[in-house]
Amino acid sequence: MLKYLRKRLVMMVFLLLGMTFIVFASLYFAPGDPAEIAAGPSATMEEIELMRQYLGLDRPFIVQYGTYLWNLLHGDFGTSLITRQPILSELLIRLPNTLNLATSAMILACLIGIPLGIVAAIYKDTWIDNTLTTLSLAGISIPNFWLGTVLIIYFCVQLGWFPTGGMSEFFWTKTGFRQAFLPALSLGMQTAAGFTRIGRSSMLDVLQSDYIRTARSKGLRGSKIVWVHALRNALIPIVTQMGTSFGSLLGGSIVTEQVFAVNGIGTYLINAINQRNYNAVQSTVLVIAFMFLLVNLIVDLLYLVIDPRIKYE
Amino acid sequence: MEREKVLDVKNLYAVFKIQKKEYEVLHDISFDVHRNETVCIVGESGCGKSVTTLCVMGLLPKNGRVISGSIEVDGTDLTKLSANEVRKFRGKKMGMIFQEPMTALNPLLTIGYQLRENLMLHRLVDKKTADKMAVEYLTKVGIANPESRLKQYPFQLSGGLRQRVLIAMVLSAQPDLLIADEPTTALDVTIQKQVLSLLNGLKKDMNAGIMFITHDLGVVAEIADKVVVLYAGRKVEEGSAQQVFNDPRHPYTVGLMKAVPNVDKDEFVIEPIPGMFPNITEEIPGCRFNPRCAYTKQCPLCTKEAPEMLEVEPGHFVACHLVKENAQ
Repeated sequence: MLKYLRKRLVMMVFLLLGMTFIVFASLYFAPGDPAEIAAGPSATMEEIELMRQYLGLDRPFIVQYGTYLWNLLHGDFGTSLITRQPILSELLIRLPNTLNLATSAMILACLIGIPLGIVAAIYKDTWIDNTLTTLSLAGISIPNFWLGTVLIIYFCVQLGWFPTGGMSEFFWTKTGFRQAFLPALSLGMQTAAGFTRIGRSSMLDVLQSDYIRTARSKGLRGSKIVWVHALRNALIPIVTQMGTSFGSLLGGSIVTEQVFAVNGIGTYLINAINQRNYNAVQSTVLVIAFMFLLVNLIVDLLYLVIDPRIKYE
Repeated sequence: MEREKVLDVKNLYAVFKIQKKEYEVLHDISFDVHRNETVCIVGESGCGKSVTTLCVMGLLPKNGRVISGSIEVDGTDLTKLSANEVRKFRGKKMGMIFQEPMTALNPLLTIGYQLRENLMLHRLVDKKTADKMAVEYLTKVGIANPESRLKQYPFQLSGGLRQRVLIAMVLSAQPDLLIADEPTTALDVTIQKQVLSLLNGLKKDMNAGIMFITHDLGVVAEIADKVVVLYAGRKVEEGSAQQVFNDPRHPYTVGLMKAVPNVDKDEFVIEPIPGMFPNITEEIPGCRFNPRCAYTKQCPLCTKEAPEMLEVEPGHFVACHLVKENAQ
């Protein structure tokens, strides 16, 4: 188990290393001049040239990349070209908001998506199943920025039930819940619909299995068969999906944060791209990638809890 | 002495719906199982053996249903009961052992849990007593170190052991009727032998009736008291094991016997039954076996009329025009 964990962590370091290279290279070769942006709009050619030397942008690619890595290793994510603040501290201020949003979206998706999938499987080929399958198809197809806008117009502007935007507290507080509910709903809808579809098909598989037939031949109640014998087995593919979904929630939060005016790393990333704040873009992407890898590791460890057949050596 | 009937199936008809059309899978099936008796239901794949067990257990898939006839277990007609009332019979009065021990246990629950659950439901005991009884039953089916097995998961057990666990589970509810659907098919021959002798011993112990489904005549010879031969959803022959083995009357039964390799004979020949087993969507007028029967040409009735059951000797029934003609 510990050996497995060590192996996974070492693998993670290499994956992150690969990530840094891809992000660094793609920004290096992208059009636009960071020195020009850092020097400001009124700078002369000489000033820009000085800035280029100051930032080390005149040095060869490999040296720049090496310096970047070296600084990363020392916990230095670089300085924002715009605000002159350390990027790490700027990210750390915004990260909780994004995690708050993604986590509440994930929880909401699980609470909505998984039970509906299971209900659809139990009532297979009835109007309940047909309705849920159609709804889940709609849920997957609706873009989250559109859903977010519609939710704001209806629930915030017309009904006034929720604030139109902003995020200051975690979702488990009262204010935090009101702030997070609609963004989480619009962000988590596609994930929920995905869970419904996967939950349905995996539950159907399980319900047709031999051990469910055995359970029925024992004369167990239908509810016990579903809760004790089927559900845990059906959860295994859903947990796999959770891992990858969390990644897309982090990605999706970039858009949702814009719609709901949440000051998270998504908003930060968009601004950084618009302002050609290269250092900031690099570091933000790296942080998102890191979280994605971390969540997938957690999911793999979660299998141990669910499935006794899985042992990591 | 007339032994008590635990299962009495009378004139059972069942259909399966395939693409909005219903096809008959069981046609006028009747047989009974007494206490301390093993009845083997024999036939090719698709002849209706498994469907018969599912009808009795009330576990037919959604597209299947019983249209008429009765299934009496301990004197109660299950076809008259609601699904929930039949559920209360399952496990308690009739237990079933399936063909695939490898997949018949829940992979995520311990052996102990799966046994305990059954005991608590049918024997109404608490958790502690259930664990004690589980150990007893595991010992009874010949599992060593039963205490440690309780904590294990199915994947840690071999196929033979899993089948024993399943048998222990079924027996622990003390059913009057034990239904075994090819319980030894997935096991290798030595384990098969062990499981069969285990079932034989337990039958006497528990004083239960066994309905045993198989296509393996070797197994039949070993355990059967009575044999029912099915062909394409119809009963073609029924009799005591001696009657059917020593004096098979229906051409299909005769064909089945000839298709078993006999190592005692000098020439090692298997005589297969010609032709293919009919699909359930196929309609065959007259005797369902007539396209594959060697005697059809001699007997014009075979392709026109379905043969009736005829008692050729006490307790030995055959549905064949030819047998009827010869008898007259």
